[in-house]
Amino acid sequence: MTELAIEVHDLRVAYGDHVAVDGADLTVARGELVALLGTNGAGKTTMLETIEGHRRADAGSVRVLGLDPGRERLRLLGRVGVMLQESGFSGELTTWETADLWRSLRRRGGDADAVLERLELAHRRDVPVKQLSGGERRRLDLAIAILGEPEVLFLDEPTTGLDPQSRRRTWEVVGGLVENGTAVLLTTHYLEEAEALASRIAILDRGRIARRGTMAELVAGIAATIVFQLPAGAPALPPLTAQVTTGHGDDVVAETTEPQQDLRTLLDWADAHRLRLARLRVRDGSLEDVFERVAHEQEVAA
Amino acid sequence: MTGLDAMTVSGTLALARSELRLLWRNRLVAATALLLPPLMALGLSRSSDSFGDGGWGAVVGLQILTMLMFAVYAAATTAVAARRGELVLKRLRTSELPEWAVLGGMLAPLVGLAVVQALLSAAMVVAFGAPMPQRPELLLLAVLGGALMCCAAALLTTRITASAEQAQVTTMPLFFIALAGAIWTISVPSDEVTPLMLAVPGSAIAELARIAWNGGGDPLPAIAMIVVWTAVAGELAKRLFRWEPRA
Ligand SMILES: Nc1ncnc2c1ncn2[C@@H]1O[C@H](COP(=O)(O)OP(=O)(O)OP(=O)(O)O)[C@@H](O)[C@H]1O
Ligand SMILES: [Mg+2]
Repeated sequence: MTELAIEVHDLRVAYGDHVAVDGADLTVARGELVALLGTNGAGKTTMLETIEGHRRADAGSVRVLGLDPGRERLRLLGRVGVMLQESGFSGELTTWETADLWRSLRRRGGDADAVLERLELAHRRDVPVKQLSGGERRRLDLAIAILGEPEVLFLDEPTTGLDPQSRRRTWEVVGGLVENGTAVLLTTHYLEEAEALASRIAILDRGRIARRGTMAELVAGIAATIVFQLPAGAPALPPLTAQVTTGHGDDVVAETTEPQQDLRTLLDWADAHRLRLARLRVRDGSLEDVFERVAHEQEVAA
Repeated sequence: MTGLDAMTVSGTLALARSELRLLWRNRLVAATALLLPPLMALGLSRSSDSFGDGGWGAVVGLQILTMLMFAVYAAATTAVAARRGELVLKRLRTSELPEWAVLGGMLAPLVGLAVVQALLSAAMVVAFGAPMPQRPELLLLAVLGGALMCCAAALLTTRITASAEQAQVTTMPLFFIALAGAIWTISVPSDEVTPLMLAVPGSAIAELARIAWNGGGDPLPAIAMIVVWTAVAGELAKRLFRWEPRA
């Protein structure tokens, strides 16, 4: 049995009468990364900051490493690393001075130079923070969050604004920590980030967890999509198991749970009629589809 | 919960050091800190006879209070509002320092600077012809206690201060109340000072400094008032303080 690092049960957080988190459950085991997804305003940051102990829960229970972050915040902080969605460092301090300050604000401080090296900031070490680019500052923020290799790591949109290369680098660093046993709770708007890093995913929708599970569980039952364009004057399509609709422009969109069979039927039919299917694409069910469904259910409910 | 261990001490000192570095890098603040005491000493020493029987003690008392209001009260309100606006405070709260240590480390350089400025300006006043203070230990107590009271008041004032710029406005009321109270207090001899005069926040700082310099009068009521106001402002600040701009 794996030990749970984070346990959230029936969490509720409100700002005045606006309920931002409304009865959410969540667990993260040691050595596991869970991604929390959701549209803008879904309540991800609120949920994270409450689990970190920065906000008070209005109801429900939160345990991090067996402690209550609301009451035992200070005891917990030494074992937890935090990267806020938005946060600040004094612009007049250099990158190294900032990392060195933070090293002395942690008991297991680690090595400021090593952590800058790890996030490819070594060459910016003597530059004032205010002169760093947005992405560099984000990496400095992550460097500080992982100082001393915390047991639990909270990352609120860690790669927003990063170039693709820095994003991969960040994934490597975070992945390495998870391998060493760190429990990570991460939010992101990049679905491929969740796919690449998370062993489990939770989708938050208006303060409630609308979906949860492994990637495979989430996309199970989600149809694959075949998209193509028909030449002008083509005969009627053969019978397919797919649901056929029209997409953008001249696209024909066929959603199917039997992509292999439908594709064969379609291609045989095209050959027989000597047709060329322009821009033919096949895509497996993806997290994006799950996301769209949640958003769609939201519209229907509203 | 508020464990005081080696890391808390060294962490607070590291934070204070980096804040001092920031003060130093902000040329305007550094220049003001260096120039304010001699300028004020010069200005006030010219008017040393205009405070009636208060003599030099009254001059020094008013000078120290004005300096603390500028260099600690207004400066601390501005600094904390600025750091909160930049989300530096919110970030620091995720460190392992207890909340009081984060704020303490941030404000310590201002307090230290104020003590140095006060000593400098006291030396200047002497250089301009004043006698030596009768009870220097009380003078130090007035400066230190006054600085702590100003810190507590500043933390409370940040509650209604949305930005660093706003601090200029939000610190105004206490600024004038304190100065008015002090002028009222030192306008009478020390043995005629009433409890009401001393109860005006800030005036006890000036009165304690006057007693320290002139030697006459009972310092205990003034000390008690400084302690009371520090405790009241500190307790209120503890309850009302905000760590980030959004509620
Ligand atoms: N301090 C606050 N005061 C009032 N309302 C707030 C506050 N913080 C957040 N909210 C509201 O609570 C809801 C959830 O906000 P939250 O920041 O948790 O969303 P999020 O999922 O992190 O969004 P994003 O993807 O944009 O970061 C939003 O409707 C937001 O307007
Ligand atoms: Mg957010």
